[in-house]
Amino acid sequence: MTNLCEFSEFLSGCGKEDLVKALKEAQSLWGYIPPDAERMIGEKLEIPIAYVASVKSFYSYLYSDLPASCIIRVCRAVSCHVSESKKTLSEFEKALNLKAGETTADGKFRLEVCGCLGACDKAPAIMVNDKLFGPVRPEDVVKILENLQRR
Amino acid sequence: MKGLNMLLQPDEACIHRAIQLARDDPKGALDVLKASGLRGRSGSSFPTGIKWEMTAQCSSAEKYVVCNADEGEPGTFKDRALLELAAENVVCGIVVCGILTEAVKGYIYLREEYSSLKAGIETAIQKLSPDFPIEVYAGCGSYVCGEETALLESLEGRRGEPQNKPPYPSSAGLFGKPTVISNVETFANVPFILSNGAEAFRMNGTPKHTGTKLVSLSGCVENPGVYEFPLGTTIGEIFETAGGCPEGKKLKGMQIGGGSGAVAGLDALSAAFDDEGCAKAGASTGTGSILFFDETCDVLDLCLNISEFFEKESCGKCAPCRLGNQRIHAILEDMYNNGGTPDDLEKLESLGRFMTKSAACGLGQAAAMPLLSALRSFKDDFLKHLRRSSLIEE
Repeated sequence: MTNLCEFSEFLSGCGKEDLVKALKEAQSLWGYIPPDAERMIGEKLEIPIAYVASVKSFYSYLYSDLPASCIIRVCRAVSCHVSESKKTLSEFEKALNLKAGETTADGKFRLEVCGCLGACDKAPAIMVNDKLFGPVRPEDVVKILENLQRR
Repeated sequence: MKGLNMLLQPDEACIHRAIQLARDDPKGALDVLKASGLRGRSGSSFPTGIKWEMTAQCSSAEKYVVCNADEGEPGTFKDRALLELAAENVVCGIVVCGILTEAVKGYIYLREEYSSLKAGIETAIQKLSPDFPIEVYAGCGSYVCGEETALLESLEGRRGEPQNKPPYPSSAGLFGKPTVISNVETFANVPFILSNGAEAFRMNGTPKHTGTKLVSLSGCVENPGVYEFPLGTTIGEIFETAGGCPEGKKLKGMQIGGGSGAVAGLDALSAAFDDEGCAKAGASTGTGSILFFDETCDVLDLCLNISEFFEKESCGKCAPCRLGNQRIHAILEDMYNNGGTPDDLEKLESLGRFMTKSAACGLGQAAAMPLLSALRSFKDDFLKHLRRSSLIEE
């Protein structure tokens, strides 16, 4: 409830051009973009809700359901692919018992594939939330997950 | 040669001289930029001085400068290096552009994945641009937003869908107003050029493609990283400077210019790395990235990986790109897993050519380039998958 009031105040200072910023703000408050927030954005910014939803679905880092406290993104673009990122991804899938795009039942880890992270000299590269790691070879995966579990 | 050690190294004195010159004589500064021959450093290669002059000449009370820091082209990480090590050079370029075009505001569209660089950039802005507001605007995970009109759509809070050109951003860009949108590296060249003059800049590079280029090297190379080279240096020399082939590996080929660049064999090592030299090798400098791959690389698998990327990143607006990338991916996947069907190569060729001519923007037009070039340079890698199919039937 508090978040909705805070969010409403934020939106009072927004114009139509702030749609993506508004969606990101909702995500920073709730961890994802709840339907109520989406509706509020449409009303306050006077944008059809269908368009708000279409912008939300366009961008990879906007979520409609609670992602996870720890989002692991494995780069699968061509430079990392040549450095065997497919095997690194496979090790993450095995260790977390997930397929890319899924979240662990305890909500701790979400595994995703992503495009080029701009770290090709550290291939294969991954991001854990906003932190970049590389090179992450298949044999490094278990250790990385252990470190993340501890935090 | 590694890193920014030539024209692009941070130089505070250069930066202050450049801004002062722009303030004292904006027309003169534009002339120097034009004379330098500086061209866009993200693949467009459009003459920067002419581009900025077009916006400067527009009579509008509201004009903008946008720095495209949405570096997403696979294999490319030079803008990351610039923003990390020489943010002030970049900001200086934006400030100068703001002065020359009489812009009201600047934006740096920074991809979300580079958000850790934001603080350093904002420090540079506070230091160099107390009067001209420059906002660091975060991206949200979309490769196509690197296309200039898609980026402007995104800045205006919309889906990052590329728009028809004309009109060009220089006359009708952000919020419909005259806008300069240039790449990080393009802006970063401004301090040296204005401070040292056009002739000093032209001492590097070729007569038609002047200056230096940041090259992002990755893959089968001893010392991957960002290097600054005079344009016109051969790819072979670039490769050797970066340590050449790692121990125990054998170079097979390279992808030149980025994830949508040409896939070429060892003959490309003799190509000069500038627009003319690369064109002779059927390639272009693009973003300046070169991905080297070794003999363990199956080029069909490489193209399959590239097609997955473009299928996902297509904005979906136009059928040639949306459906073309889907079909290319499906055919390559079938060839890779099951051996495909005999007319697959013809279909791929036809799809690729169609997309190059009909897609609405650079993403769709370039997405099939790696495949079309690979079919020429590494046909055997494709044929061996087809042969596998006929062997299974026997």
